[in-house]
Amino acid sequence: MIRVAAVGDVHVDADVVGRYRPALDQLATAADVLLLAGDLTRHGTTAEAECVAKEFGGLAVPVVAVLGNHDYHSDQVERITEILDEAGITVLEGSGTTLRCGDQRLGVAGVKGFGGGFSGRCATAFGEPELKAFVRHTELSAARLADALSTLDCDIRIALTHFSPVPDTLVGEPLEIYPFLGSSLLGEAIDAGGVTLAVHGHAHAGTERGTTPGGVPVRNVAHPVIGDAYRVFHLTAGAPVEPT
Amino acid sequence: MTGEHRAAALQRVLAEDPAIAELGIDATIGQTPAGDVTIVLSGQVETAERRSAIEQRVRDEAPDCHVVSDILVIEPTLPAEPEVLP
Repeated sequence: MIRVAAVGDVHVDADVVGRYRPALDQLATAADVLLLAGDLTRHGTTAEAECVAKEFGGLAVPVVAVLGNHDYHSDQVERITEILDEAGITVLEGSGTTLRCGDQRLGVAGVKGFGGGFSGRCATAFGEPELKAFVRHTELSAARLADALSTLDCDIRIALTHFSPVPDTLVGEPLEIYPFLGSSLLGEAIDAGGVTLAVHGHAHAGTERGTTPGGVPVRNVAHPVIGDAYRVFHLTAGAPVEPT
Repeated sequence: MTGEHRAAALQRVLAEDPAIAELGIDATIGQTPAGDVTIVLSGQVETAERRSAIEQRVRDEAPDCHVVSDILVIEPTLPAEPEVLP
């Protein structure tokens, strides 16, 4: 069994430093790894990234993250990634990492993801260049997630995104903004990727639990949704499921 | 400006003001029986300071309105039981 803790949308700035630490200090007793599902900062500044590094760095378990839309706001993604990396936090973007947990190998593939909406109600790459660019960003992100999943050599695969791969976990959000909260292209990549669990954030007013059309459990771990400092999932490897 | 347009403008301010940067705050404009305009704020934030900043920003933006805040500060508490996935 592998124990996975996850939280997203922690929006750390100086005023948050120290608030998560009491729960994080007990993390090693409950989990083998911590996943951060994006929106780690408020405005995506390097000063805020230093606060994230202080709050979530140096833990007794590995920490794996993706960035969210807030983390892109100040156009400092490269430096933010470096700061987190220096604190021992692995930042994924179209990439994956494999961790040994006891006698099992956990693979995590991550992308920020993007919007576009869900099956039957999707934006399409048609018309104005701005709309085509929007949709193509999502298509590229989903393709990068699929690639990252396919290269993982592991017993259990997790897909980590900021945007949602399914509409199920958006219930509670206004229907009108679903296209800005996720895309079924991400769900399609997850269903083809031999994934045991998909974790995302972004939808503060959404719902915790959902499932892809292919039956993969999806969990929205945005802090406003889960309330607690993190959620813990216990995963057991069955027969290896390889990406299709 | 109608109440609907005013609520939309407030939500843009709360998202785009660098001191706030909150995208998850809902602003609903209503009216008391006495005819006073009321703005009800709801959503969740990480700290009490952020809640106060939002409330103050809305008061500054709409000094003629009565502001009611239902914004919750979420505490990062320890989780209860883990979820066991098959």
